[in-house]
Amino acid sequence: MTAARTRQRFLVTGVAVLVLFILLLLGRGAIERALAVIQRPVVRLGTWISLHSAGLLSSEESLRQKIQRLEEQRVAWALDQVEWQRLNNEHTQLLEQLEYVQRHHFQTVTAAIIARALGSRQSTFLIDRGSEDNVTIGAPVMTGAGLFLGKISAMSPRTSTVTLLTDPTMTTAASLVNETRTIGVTQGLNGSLMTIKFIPHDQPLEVNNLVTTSGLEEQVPSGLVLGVVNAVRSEKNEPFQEAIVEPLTDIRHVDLVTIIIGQGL
Amino acid sequence: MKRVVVMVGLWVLLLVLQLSFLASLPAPWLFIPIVAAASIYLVQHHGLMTAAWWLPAYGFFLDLFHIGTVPWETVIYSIAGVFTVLLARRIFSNRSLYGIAACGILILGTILLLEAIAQFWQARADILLSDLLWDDLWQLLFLIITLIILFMVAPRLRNWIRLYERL
Repeated sequence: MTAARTRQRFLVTGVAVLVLFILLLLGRGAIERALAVIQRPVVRLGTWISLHSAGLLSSEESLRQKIQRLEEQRVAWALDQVEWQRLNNEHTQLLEQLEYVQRHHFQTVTAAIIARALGSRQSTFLIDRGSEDNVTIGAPVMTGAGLFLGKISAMSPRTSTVTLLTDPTMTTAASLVNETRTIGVTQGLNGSLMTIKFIPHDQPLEVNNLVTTSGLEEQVPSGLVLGVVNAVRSEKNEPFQEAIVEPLTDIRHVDLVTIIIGQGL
Repeated sequence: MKRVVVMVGLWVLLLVLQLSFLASLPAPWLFIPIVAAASIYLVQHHGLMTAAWWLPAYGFFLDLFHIGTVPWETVIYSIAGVFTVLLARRIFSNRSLYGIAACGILILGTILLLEAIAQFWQARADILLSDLLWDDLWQLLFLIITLIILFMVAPRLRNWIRLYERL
């Protein structure tokens, strides 16, 4: 093959790629739909492998530590559960007295994950719902069980990009489930954890505290679970204390999500 | 035209494999850079220069759907595409395992370095350098492993590439 011919082929492919770029921009909706058909089962397969291989690569020591930590959490949560049950009963009675039919009524749409980009640098994923499904920028995304995952950061008519809470660029107005309902801001850390910042020293902050959304952010209702505190950093010479928050779900184990597109009382 | 269709089809396949399948696997498997590895392998080892276009096209896809690390992935991956052709032709023209591995490390290293610079330029200071290095090292390690595997199956792939050349 001559050098001239190789050059010609290289240029022809270049032109074809440019045409492809233009087609992608113009016929984006149709291409997205076609790609989503292939991507959905592939993501499902990857998620299944991820779910069934959890722990295979962990060392015995780290697994033992994990079990110990989980057992401690279970005890703490069991105690919390008792308290929660008591409060829940009281709450139910109060609601009945006030004749509330329903506390929250979210309008939601369900979406399938079609691509992911996860790592320390970024934590984002692509879903098969877009502006045609009434999705808006900033809309909260959660798992079916109600665990908050992230927010819509970009979208097209047919797809949306979700930035996870653990993405280093993501901040969320949060509140701690403690006696004083302390308010703070979480920020993503290294793609798998979050930090909660700006907690004054006079506020109680303890390991195993649940962290939920505070409701101080537009579009994001209060009470969505963000994660649980697993380490606290409190230096007396600093104005605020901060904590590391661990999300309660691993995005690699999820292939369907729910987007809150509207809320009523 | 048939060749272009084959190249675009293979690119879509690699794209789905990278962003939908591998990205769903647990760490560290999600760091396998299959698109970069396939492109570098075909350009350096088989002289299939058209495969260099997979890199800018991949960057463009990341930008289009906002799933890239930084918003200028098209530029970063285009630089990598040009680098691939130049390195494969001028510097690592020897089609040995060392040649392909060195070429691959330099190209992926360039992509990762440009992304890191862009991120720090965006003032994303909360990213820990140790975590960045950890992800990058996994990507480089998996790139070498993928290139070694591809190098080992090169004789079989050569028949397929001959078929492609006849199109």
